[in-house]
Amino acid sequence: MLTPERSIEIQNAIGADIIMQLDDVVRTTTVGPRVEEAMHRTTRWLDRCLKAHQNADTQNIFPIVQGGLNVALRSESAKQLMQREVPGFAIGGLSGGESKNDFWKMVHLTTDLLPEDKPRYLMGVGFAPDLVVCSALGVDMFDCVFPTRTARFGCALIHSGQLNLKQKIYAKDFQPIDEECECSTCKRYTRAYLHTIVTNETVSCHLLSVHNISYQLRLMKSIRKSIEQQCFPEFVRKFMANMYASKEYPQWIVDALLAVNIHLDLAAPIAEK
Amino acid sequence: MKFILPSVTACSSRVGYITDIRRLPGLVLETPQLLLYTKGGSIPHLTYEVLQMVSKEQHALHIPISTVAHCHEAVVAFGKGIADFIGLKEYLTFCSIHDPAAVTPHGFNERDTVSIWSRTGRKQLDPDKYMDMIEAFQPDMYQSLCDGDTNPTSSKKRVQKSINRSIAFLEKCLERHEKSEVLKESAILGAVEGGYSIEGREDSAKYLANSSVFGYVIDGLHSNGPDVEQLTIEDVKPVLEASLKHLPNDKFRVLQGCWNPETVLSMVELGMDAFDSSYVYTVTERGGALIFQNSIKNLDIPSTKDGSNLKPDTSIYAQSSYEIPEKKKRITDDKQVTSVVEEDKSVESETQGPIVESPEDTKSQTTSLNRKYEISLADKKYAEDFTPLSRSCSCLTCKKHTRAYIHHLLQTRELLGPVLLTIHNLHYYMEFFKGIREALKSNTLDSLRKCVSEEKDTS
Repeated sequence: MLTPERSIEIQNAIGADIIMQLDDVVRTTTVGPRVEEAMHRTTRWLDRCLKAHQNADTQNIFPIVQGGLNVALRSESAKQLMQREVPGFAIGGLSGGESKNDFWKMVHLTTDLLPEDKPRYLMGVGFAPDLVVCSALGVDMFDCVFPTRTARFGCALIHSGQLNLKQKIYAKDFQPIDEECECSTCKRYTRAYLHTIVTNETVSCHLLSVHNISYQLRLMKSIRKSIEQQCFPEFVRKFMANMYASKEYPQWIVDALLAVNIHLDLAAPIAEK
Repeated sequence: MKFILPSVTACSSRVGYITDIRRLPGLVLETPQLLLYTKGGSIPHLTYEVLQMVSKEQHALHIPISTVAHCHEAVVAFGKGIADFIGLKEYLTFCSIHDPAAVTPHGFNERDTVSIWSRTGRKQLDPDKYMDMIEAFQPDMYQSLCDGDTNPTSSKKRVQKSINRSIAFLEKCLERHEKSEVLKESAILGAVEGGYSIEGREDSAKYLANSSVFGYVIDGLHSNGPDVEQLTIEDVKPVLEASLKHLPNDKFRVLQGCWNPETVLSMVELGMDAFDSSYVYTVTERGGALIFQNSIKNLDIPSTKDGSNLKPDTSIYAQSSYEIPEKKKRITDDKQVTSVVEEDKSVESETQGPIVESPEDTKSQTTSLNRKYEISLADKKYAEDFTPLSRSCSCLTCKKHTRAYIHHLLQTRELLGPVLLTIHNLHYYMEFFKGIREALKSNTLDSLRKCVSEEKDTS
């Protein structure tokens, strides 16, 4: 079993620039007193982690906001953690099995509470639309296994979604994954060849991982650029139009963006996903 | 395409080169040469980008038809041949029939067909079907269809069948080859058969000596698979010599299979020109790193041009204040409780990815014979060994990483483990072949043999 002290001891040895407190995280679908217990425990563990931290000069420790899907508990968690002197904040306990509708509201609530001048790190996100929406909601950092895991299963990420290269439709498709992508995979390998090796040769894992990571990094770069150039809402509109070709945007995306004043071009009434 | 032997020497070993490949002008491949073993059209674990980190030179790829048979239709539609299809058009391509790293089952050849085991199961190939594939793939070099299902215990009948059928197959393949527009620039090799019968070998070779092939594959000595490593030159010398005796000296000779380094050296001495690198693959798959002395140069670490040490920077480990409290505990055993939250359920389950074999699975295959050329990184004794795989190796893995790290990667079944091992093992084996060519040119093959056969201190 991992204690806060042991967790920090290990992270001090590993030497990462940003390390995480040990938190008590419960499933988003959990209700009842367990959620509150985990929230308070997370704060107590933060204090123990801060005390045990040997390398405050060289390693930045982030606390992790909990509180499940409960507005009161999440607010309380954020407030408590903000009372400690820390270089940044993580938003945890989300990106599990909860509905997207609950998910975005908690992210929005938390980013409204956390200080403006410190990084906000949303853990476990994610899919491209989620990255765009949560960037809109004020998140600064993300992590996710998704791009590399889905690569290992033969899926390539593109602006309009995903290509499942295991499918026979790609057997004679001699384009690269993405004509406009400049990654080493797209410069040399065709969908047809990748189709023959996905899930069979480890090389396919590497080739698709390179592409998918390149895709995600390019996406984040575009987000930053459009913010700098003051055309972020336009970027979001274009991105969503590419992703949801029929303009059937998931309701939660419409709502989340609306909450920060970004309006999508709507076509027909939308269904909750 | 030309195979050129610059000088005629008294001994049977020779250096030469392949050149004048219209598709790849300027490419000169020195022999004895290492053909890079591929599976499904890629060197196992290496993308093109990573291959460039091993070697920026042009090489020849060894492409067993059985590992790319499932691509046939797609390559036909593609229309530009296998080299381009697999994203490696800068490399010379050599098509063989069977996968040298996988055992070819006995007894499945018939009078008019040879069985191969492809991704989609057993396929029976007659010369026409085989040549259809060859015409689609358009390799720069390929072997004729042949029946090599023989081993030391084969009956006379089986040996004779393998000789006769291979002759019949060659005739049909040559016919198709000569008619083919797309194979105009391709070289076809005939297969010397005859199992372990001296007479059979000589008959087969005599026939081939009169045929219009570019060179020869010495076939029928084994059924592929990792066990070929156990074969020594004593096992095959008589039939190898018998195979070569009646072949014209000036044609290209290939010998396929996972032979071990000493046997390769001996076969070079007898006059072989090319081998495939399937041995590199089988060593990697069991978590092995080659450490035999692969050149005559002594073991002192040469300094690089900019003076940087070839040893990895282990000072970063010295900075850690963490000590393992008990030797038995491993950090990787602890469950990650920090908030790595669960994935969205729509992501498929972990089991659908390709399977990376744990080194434990193949441990039983390592015997005392092949421990000699390699160290087994799965062994716990490397858990805190912060030295490189080989102190005399300049590959990326040895410059940047330690045995402890590779051991860790294998324990945690990370894909990077086989990648780093392949980078090292392939580089190491390529250097071995450079060493062979140098030794032949300087007449020091005996010294090289002594170095290779030395028991290495593996600590």
